[in-house]
Formats: sequence, C-alpha cells, structure tokens
Amino acid sequence: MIGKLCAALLPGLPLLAGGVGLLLPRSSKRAAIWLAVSSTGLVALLALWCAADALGSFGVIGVKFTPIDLSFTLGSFGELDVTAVLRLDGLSALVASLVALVALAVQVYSIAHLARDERYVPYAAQLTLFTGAMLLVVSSADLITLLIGWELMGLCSYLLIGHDRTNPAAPAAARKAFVVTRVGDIGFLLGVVLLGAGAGSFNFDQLGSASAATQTAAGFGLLAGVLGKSAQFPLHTWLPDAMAGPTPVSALIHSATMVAAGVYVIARLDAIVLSSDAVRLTLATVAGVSILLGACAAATNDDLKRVLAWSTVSQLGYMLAGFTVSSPIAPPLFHMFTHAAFKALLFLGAGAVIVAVGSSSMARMGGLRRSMPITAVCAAAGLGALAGVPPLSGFWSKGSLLALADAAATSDGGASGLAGAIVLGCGTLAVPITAFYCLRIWLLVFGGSYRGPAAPRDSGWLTLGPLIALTIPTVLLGAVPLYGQLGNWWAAAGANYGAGALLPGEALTPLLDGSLVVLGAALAWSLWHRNQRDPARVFGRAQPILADGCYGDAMQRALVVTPVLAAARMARAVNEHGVDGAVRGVGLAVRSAGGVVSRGHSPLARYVSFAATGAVGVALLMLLIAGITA
Amino acid sequence: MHAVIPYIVAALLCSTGVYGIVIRRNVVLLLMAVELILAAATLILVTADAVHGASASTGQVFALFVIVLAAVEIGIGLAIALRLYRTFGSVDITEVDAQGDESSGSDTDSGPAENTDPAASNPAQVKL
Amino acid sequence: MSGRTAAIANVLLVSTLVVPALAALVLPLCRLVVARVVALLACLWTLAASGALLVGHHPARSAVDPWHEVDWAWVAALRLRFHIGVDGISWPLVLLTSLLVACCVFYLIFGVSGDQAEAESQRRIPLLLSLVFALQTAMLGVFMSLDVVLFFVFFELTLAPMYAVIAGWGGPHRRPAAMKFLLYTGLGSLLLAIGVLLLVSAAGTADLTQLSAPGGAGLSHYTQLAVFVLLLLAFAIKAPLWPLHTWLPDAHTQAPTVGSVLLAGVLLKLGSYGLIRLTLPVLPEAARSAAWLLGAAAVAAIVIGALVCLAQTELKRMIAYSSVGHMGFVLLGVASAAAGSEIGLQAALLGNLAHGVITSLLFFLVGSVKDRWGSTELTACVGLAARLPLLAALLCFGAVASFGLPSLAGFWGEAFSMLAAWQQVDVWWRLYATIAAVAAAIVVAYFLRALYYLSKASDHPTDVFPENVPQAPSSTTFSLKTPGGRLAEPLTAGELLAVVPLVLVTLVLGVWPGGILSLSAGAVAAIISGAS
Repeated sequence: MIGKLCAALLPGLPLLAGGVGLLLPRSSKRAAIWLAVSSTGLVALLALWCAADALGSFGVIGVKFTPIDLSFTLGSFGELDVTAVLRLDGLSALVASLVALVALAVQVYSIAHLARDERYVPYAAQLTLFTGAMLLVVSSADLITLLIGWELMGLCSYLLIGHDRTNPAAPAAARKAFVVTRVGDIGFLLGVVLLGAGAGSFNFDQLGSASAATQTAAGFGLLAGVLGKSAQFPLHTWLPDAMAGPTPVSALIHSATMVAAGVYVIARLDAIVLSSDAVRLTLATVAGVSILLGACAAATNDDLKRVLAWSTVSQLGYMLAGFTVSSPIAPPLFHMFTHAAFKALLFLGAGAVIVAVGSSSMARMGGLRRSMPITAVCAAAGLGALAGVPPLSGFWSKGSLLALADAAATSDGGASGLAGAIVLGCGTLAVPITAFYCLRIWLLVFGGSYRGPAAPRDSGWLTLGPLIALTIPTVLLGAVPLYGQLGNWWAAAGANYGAGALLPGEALTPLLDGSLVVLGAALAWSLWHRNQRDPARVFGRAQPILADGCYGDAMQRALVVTPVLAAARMARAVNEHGVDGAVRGVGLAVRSAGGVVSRGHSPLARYVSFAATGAVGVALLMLLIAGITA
Repeated sequence: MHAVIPYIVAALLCSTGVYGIVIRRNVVLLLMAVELILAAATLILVTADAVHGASASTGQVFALFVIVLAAVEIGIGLAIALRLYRTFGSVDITEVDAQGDESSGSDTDSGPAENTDPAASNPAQVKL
Repeated sequence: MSGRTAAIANVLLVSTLVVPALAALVLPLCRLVVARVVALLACLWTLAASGALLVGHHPARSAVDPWHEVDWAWVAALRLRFHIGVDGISWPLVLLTSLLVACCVFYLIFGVSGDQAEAESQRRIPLLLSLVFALQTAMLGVFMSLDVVLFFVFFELTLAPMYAVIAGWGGPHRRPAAMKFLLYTGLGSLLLAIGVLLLVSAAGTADLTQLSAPGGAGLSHYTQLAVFVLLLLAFAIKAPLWPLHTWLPDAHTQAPTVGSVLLAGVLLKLGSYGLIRLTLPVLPEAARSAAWLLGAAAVAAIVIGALVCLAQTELKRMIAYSSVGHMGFVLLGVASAAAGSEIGLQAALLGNLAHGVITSLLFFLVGSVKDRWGSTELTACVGLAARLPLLAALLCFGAVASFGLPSLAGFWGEAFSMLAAWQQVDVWWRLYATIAAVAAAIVVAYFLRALYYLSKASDHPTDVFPENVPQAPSSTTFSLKTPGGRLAEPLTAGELLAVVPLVLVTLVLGVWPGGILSLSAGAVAAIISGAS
C-alpha cells in the first residue's frame, strides 16, 4: 500500500505541483518558489527513500524490497486494453533519485539566477512539470505511459527554451527543438503502435511476444525517437541552438535528464530494441559519428554553452554506443549517472560565469580563477571528470565502456564485433579531443588574465551551493564500484542486469586512455601557454566548419525543410486553384451555359432543345435506377 | 400500367423550369420558372398516386401540400421582388448580385442584415 | 426501467429538441435583457437534460440499442416516424452539442462589452441566439434520430440557420462563402435524399434499428453499392473529406466566432456520424469493398491538410484546414472499421469527440484575438504573448491538444486510428499508417509556426516563408488603429466561461478515455461483428 502510494506520488506530485503552479498569478513569486522547491524536495526524499530500499535488498540496509507495480486501466479499444502501469524497482528508483536531486539543485539555483525575471512563476511551474514528466518516463512500465511522459517532456523543453522573450533566438530555437525531436518521434510513435498491435498489449513484460520482424521494425522506430531526444546524428542540430534557453534549463533538461531519457528507454527495452543486428549496427554507427562530431565541434566553438552542448552530444554518443557492444546495461547507465553529475555541474558553473561576466563568449573571459575561486575549483573537477582524468568519476565510467568495446571487438564475431570496432575506434579517437577541449575551456575561462570589460565577482550561496553539492558525486561516484559494501551492492546490481566487467578490467585500456588524455591536454596547453591564444586555432581553416557541426544545419534545411515547404506551397496551389477551381468552375459553367444557350437561334427552338435534353436525361436516369433496383 | 407520357411531360416541364432559372434575369420570370418545377413535381405526385395507388391517396394529398406551399412561396417571393425594386430600382438579379457579392465593406443595403463589426468594416485594417 | 422513470426519460429526450426550438421561436421577439435570460435557461436545461440521459445506460446488445427512445408515428406515407433515442455512440455527441451551444450562449451573453460602438450589434444578438438554438434543435435531431428519413430531415434543417449565421454576422466576404457553403452542402443533402429514398424503398423500412440488424439491410449487391456511393458522397462533403472539402475554409474564415465553433464542433461530426451510423451497419458489403478507397482519401486529407496549413498566413484559415486533417484521421478510423477493425471505430468515435472540443476551443480563442487585435493574420499577431499572456497560454494549450500531445484528448484518436490501419495486414494500409505518422509531424510544424509568431517579441523577419516578411507596421503602431483600445484587455467573463469547460473536457478525455470508450464498446462490437 505504501509502496503503491510512493509509486503514484513519484511522478504524480511534481505533475500536480506543476499544474497548480501554472495557475498561479504572475505576482506570487514567493508562493511559486515554495511550491516548486518543496515539491521537488519531497520527491527527492521519496526517491532517495525508495533507492535506499532498493539498496536494502542487496544487503546494505536490512530491509527487504520488492518492485512495486501500480496499474490503472485507461480504456479499452475493442480487444486492446490500454493500462497505465508504473513500476518502481531498483533501476527506476536509482534513476529517479538522480533526476530528483539534479532537479532540486537546479530549482534552488534558479531562484538566484532568475531573481530579476518577471516570468519566474510559469518558469518554476514548467520546470516542476518537466520533473514530473521525466519521473513518469522513469517509472513507466508500459508504452503508453512512456509516450505520455516522453512527449510531455518535449513540450516542457519547448516552453522552457523559449522562456526568455527578449532573446530573439529563443522562440526559433524552441520551435527547432520541438520539430526536430518530433521528427524522431514519428518513428517512436510508429514503434509504439507496431509493438502494441503485434504484441496485443503495451505492457513492457508482454512486448516480447511480438514477432521478430515486428520487433526489428519497432526497434528502428523507437531508435529514431531516441536519436531525436538524445541529440544524436542526424537529429542533433537542435541541441546547440537550445542553449538560447536559461542556463538552469540547459543544466537540467539538456544535459542530465531529457537527453538521458533516450538512454534510459534503451536500457529498459534493450531486449526489444537491440534484438536485431541491423538496429545494433545502425546505433553503433550513428553514435560513433556523434561522438566524433560532438567532440570536434566542442573543440572549435567560442560560445561556452554551445561547447558544453556539443560535448553533451558526444558523451551521449558514448552512452548509446555502450549498449551496442554487449548486453549488460550497467556500464552505459553508470556513465549516464556520472555524466549527469558533471555536466549539470558544468552548466550551472557556466551560468554563474556568464552572469558574472555578462557574456557567454569565451573570448571575453579569462583570469576568473582569482575572482571566482570556488567556481573555478568546481569547474576543474567537472572538466576533469569529463575528460576522464583518474580518479574522477568520468574516468571509471568512460573507461569501462571502452573496455567493453575492446572486448567485443576482439572476441565477438559478426555484428557485435563490428559494432565494437566502430565504438572502440570512434571512442578512443575522441578521448584526446575531449581532453583537449576540457583543458581549453578551463584555460580560456579561468586561466590567464581577464579579457572583458565588466568586473566579475563570485556568486552567492544560492548559486554556489548546488555547484558544491554536485561536485561531490562528480568526484566520488567513481568510487562506487570499488569500496566495500557499496562495491558489493554495485557488483550485485550489475549482476542483476547482467554486468560483466564493470571496472576497467585489463590494464591496457586504462593506460591507453590515460596517455591519450595527457596527450590531448598537453596539446591544448602547448598552444595556449605562450601567448594565451585560443588553442582551437590548431584546426586551422576547418575550425568554422567543425564549429558549425559540419554543415549539419545546412543539410537539414536542404534535405528536409526546403522540400517540405515547397510541397506545402504546391499543396496550397493545387488546393486553391485545382480543387476549388473545379468547384468554382461548375458555377461558372452553369452561368455561361445560360449565355451559350441563349445565343442560339429562335426562342422556340431553344426551349424545345433544352427541354428535350432534360427529358431524355431524366428518362435515362429512371431506367438506370429501375435497372439497379430490379 | 405504365405511365410514360405524364413522366415525360413532367420532365419537359422541369427542364423548362431549370432552363428558365438559368437564363432569366427578371426576378418575376425567375419565380415563374420555379413554379414550373413545382408543377412538374405535382404532376409526378398525382401520376404516381394514380399508378401505384396507396390506400390513402397520399400522392394527391402531397400534391395539395405542394400547391399550398407554392402559393406561400410566390407570395413571399413577390414581396421580396417588390422590396428589391424599391431599394435598387430594378428587378434584374445580375445588377443586385454585383453589389452584394464581393463586399468591400460598404454595402448600400441599410437593413438589419449588416455586419456592424467596426474593426472588420474598415478596409485599411483588414489589409494587414 | 419502471414506467415512471421511462416517462421522465422520454420527457427529457423530447425536451432536448423542443426547448431549443421554442427558444428559437421566442428569441427574435425579445429585447436583449429578456433574451439573455431565455437563452441561458434554454441552454442550461438542454445541457442538464442531455447529461441526465446518461442515467440508465446499459451495454449495447446490438448495433443500435438505445437507452431511451421515443417512437411515434408521423408521416406513414414517407415511412417517416418520429423515432429518436440515445445510445452509446450518439450520447457523447449529444452532450458535446449541448455543451458547445452552452459555451456559445455564454460567449454571446457575457462576452459582449457595454461599449457604445457595440450597441448596434447588441440589437442583433437575440436574432443570432435564435439561430443558434434552431441549429441546436436540428443538430440534436440528427444525432438522436433512429429513423433514416427523420435523419435526413434534421440533416437538411441544419443548412438554413448556418447559412443565415454566416451571411448575417460574418466577415467581409461572407456572402460568397455562405453561398458556397449552402450550395455545396446542399448538393450533399440532395445526394443523401436520393440515397435515403433508394434505401428505404429497397429495404421496405426506415427504422434504423431494423436496418442495422446483423448482415445489414439485406439489399442486393448493386443496390447496396449505389446507395453507398450516394451516402458516401453526401457525408464526405459534410465531413469533409478531401477533395470535397473546399467549402470549409471560406465558410470557417468568414463565419462569426459562434458560427465557426458550431460548424467545426458539430456540423462536421454529422458527416462522420452519418458514415458510422448509416453506412457501416446498414451496408456492410459495400463498405468493405470501398474501405481501401476511403482510407486512401483519408490519408490524402491528412497529408494535404497538413501541408496546406503549413503554407497559410492567417490563423483562422489555418485552424479551418486543420479540421480537414483531423477529420482525415477520423475517417481513417472509419475506413479501418469498414475493413473490420473495432479499434478503428472506437478511435474514430473518440477522435470525433476530441476534434469537436479542441477545434471549438481554438476558434473561441481566435475569436478573442480578432476582437482585440482586429485581424488574425499571423504577421499581425506578433507579440501577442507578451500583451495577452493568458490568451497566448490557452492558444498554446489548444495547439498542443490539437496536434495530439499524449495525455490530451486528441492523442487517442490519432494514435489508435494509425494502429487500426496498421493492423490490417496489407501493405497499403501499413503505408497509410506510416504516411499518417509523418503527416502528424507536419501538423506539429505548422502549429509551432503559428505559436512562433505569437511569442516573437519583435518583427524579426526570419520566417521560413520569405514572402511573409511583414510589410505592415510593427505591433506598437498597430494599437493606434484598433478601436476602443482593447488591445490588451484581459479575457471577459463570457470568454472564460466558454473556454474553461472545453479545457477541462480536453484534460479529462485525455487522461481517461475509458469512460467514453466503455459506453460505445457494445455497439461497436455489434457493428463490426454484424458486418463480417
């Protein structure tokens, strides 16, 4: 009973709070703050409690935990029942805690960040609504609930990106984000429909009864949706532009949660989605391209938030690629956890820096380690984790992924081996580039001397608090596989999800990784330290092309946008001149028929001819009807 | 028995009526053409009743209905024609049509069938 | 049910038709004050009576198994009996009609300000209310009639009041639009008349209960085909189905707000309801052979509707074309039902209902925009979100509901008609489902384009259609031309009263479609099993 209440409250409380918050008037800022922070805090506590329960089942705390299922029927279409099922098991409880904690940090951060924004009230409500939608995705155990949470997240992302009305880029960026993810969701919806029709039910447990062909086709469909939401090639173009939204939004939605929702969906449905080799290879290729594309773009961009966005594309590629190299889902999920921590940290830090400096261009920053020391230290931790510097968390998670890819490439045959080779190649190649741009960021922003006009100071505690809070998991999460009881639990959890090697098993891979990190960092340092110029100049003339994402936007416009708009124009012309023209033509024909006939010969002849034609017509019609009904 | 001739005659009447509606511009002659169509309908009703005779002579009863309705319709129609003549000075429907159809916001008809929405009746605003 | 309860039910049933008819007769003679009271009482009574008809519902045992019915002889010669009743398929539509008419009445009564410039139009509100009630009688009659000839009579009755509403209270090009509406749908009515006559004379009865018996009316193959073609054409014009839809955009754009609401919310439903009630159970063989054609036309409607919307420059016309796309989804469900899918029929019924609620909501909101800003051109609505945040938020809600966001009403119809199409194990049907899914993304694109204009703060000319770069002055100078300075006036009580119930229904129907689904489940199963 308590369990079912928890399962219902976990997504239900923030959804309700968000809905109520949307109805609050603009002036009630205090009430909005209370509502948002308290509901997110309550949900975080609830999620942590459930996660602790889950830990308990593995022997750390002595309480027995069983997965909780909560279902209610939404309706039945003929013989197809639509039942919403919420499931709270170990995996969903852990991911829910992640989501809730990052959301709480972001909510607290937003209080200061949007202190002077008059539209704070709807912002906080939308943020809470988003948290509820993500928790719905995390706790769903049937496709329809998943779809509801999935699309609701997309809507909240759209509303939040477009939050700042004075930013001319914001409405366009919001629209682009929604449309691009919606294109991916064509496939997602078709995948859901296929599975529902093929398996006779939308429940995750029963999806396996669909035929193999259905599963493959549905796998491609669901993959399309995941690629859209997780900003992988070719549906990645929306994420850099989405940085037009407020920075806390970028921290929550576009680094830690929504983009990770795709990873979670594949983790949950991996038996279905990755059941076929074709899907596996496609995902490996796409993810590999995204890894490299994102890394190169991050290394060449000047806008701090765009660099982080491209970096997210790259890291998500790592996560998705991890699923293709073997069936244990623990390693990519581990990377999702660590990535959430350090990327949210980096975005919040970037927000603090941007507010202090007044611009997001890294060319105008520098020397901030003296005026914003705490932020500099936290950012260093985050960047180190991103680059994969031991013993920070990123080293362990990325390392285990590459180790698995190595194992798959060398020992597995067929598609799995090929996927492993692709992942290993792209992933290893991106390691020095990642280290390069991480050091580049720190040097350009915090190193050297200040290049801008304003006088930056370190931020208040409402801003620094979440930063420090996120630095702790960034540094320590890597320890989870190693130490004592927690290590036992993690190994056992991994065993439950079929994890093989969670740690960088062979010594070769971590050595190689480590040396590549040092290589990339050394390159960045050597290009910078003499006269503090941007290390990205090493890319030479390719820099603007790479920064733009290798013509991603232009290709999208040429391949999709322009043809659709041309089709729209044509449809409108056909509709108005063709179809409607025919209708209007009938009216004109009737009028001119009168004119034509009246220009005949004598009036009597006209009458007679017309009347005779009519009589013959009616007689024929009568014969026809009589013949039909006889 | 087969009643071909009355049906053919009715068809002739109907076609003449349709022809009249299509070609006549004078409102009164238009109404006369409509009368022809109604006459054709009456003829069909009576013939059908005589040939397929239902018990209650329903066809002939309906024919009476049609006659009454035709009378009512002619009354109202002629009243409208008179009103038309008083307002426009002519009973030519093509002339009336040109003024009432593509309204640019300034109708001369001052009756209650007018759109008094101030925003829409200002052409300069609508062009936005 | 006991005799007394049955009598009360019959009284309620007949009163839903009689009360609006009386109101329609009485209202033109009243002054505005009295008219307000009369209209309020009439619409509230009809709404309550329609809701009360739910009491006593039972699972259907056959295709037409009414919960309450009234069957009186009327004109025996035409086989016309006054046979009306409600069952699981028609009751939601009856309630929808009463709800929408109530919303329209609230909008007209409480939404009119006391401005001096409005005094002129206030004299004509009683007349408009009278026409709305006449429309209500006719529309309720169509949904409740269980006699095919009576169905036709009420179907035809909806034309004249709608014509008067458009021609009398519409926009600057209302006369040709109203004429086109009348002639085109009148043609549909003519085809319906011939079809009904053929059906009744061939089957020997006009009673829908008997005609819908398993196996249909038992007509010979060619007769069935002939009747089906006639009925299909008639209902396709009304629904509307591409390419017989061209009366719709002009009629919707030129009609006044309440006209558009009733046109989109109810009149379009007459077409799909007619298809579901009159053709599927009565002419099953013909329906089955024509299912693929209906499906193809439906998919064409979805795609072309979406593409044309993307090229629109005016908000009201865009929403009108979106109706074509939505009804395309409904008709895709009907086509799947003709091919034997229960899911398709349920999806069509639910989609019908959802479209009625959501599009009416959008038309109310666009009417509010037009009242304040004088124009609904997209380029003129720039900056609306900053001036009128509540209205913009509601428009966003309406747009989001319209493109089928899961958890709102529109999702179920769209997703499950796709599923029903996919379940027909035939490559063409699967192609239909895929094309429909792709078109759903285009629907999102055009709604977001409209919302983009609303949320832009300045005239930043970055629209995807370069010919839409505004030549007009910016929104700040626009305010000087708007009469009465109503630019940023908050929503009036009437507008809120009209809009809030629709928002609530959208939410409830989105999260809990099971209520409506369970009402019609029995009838749907009977129709599909009887047809196979």
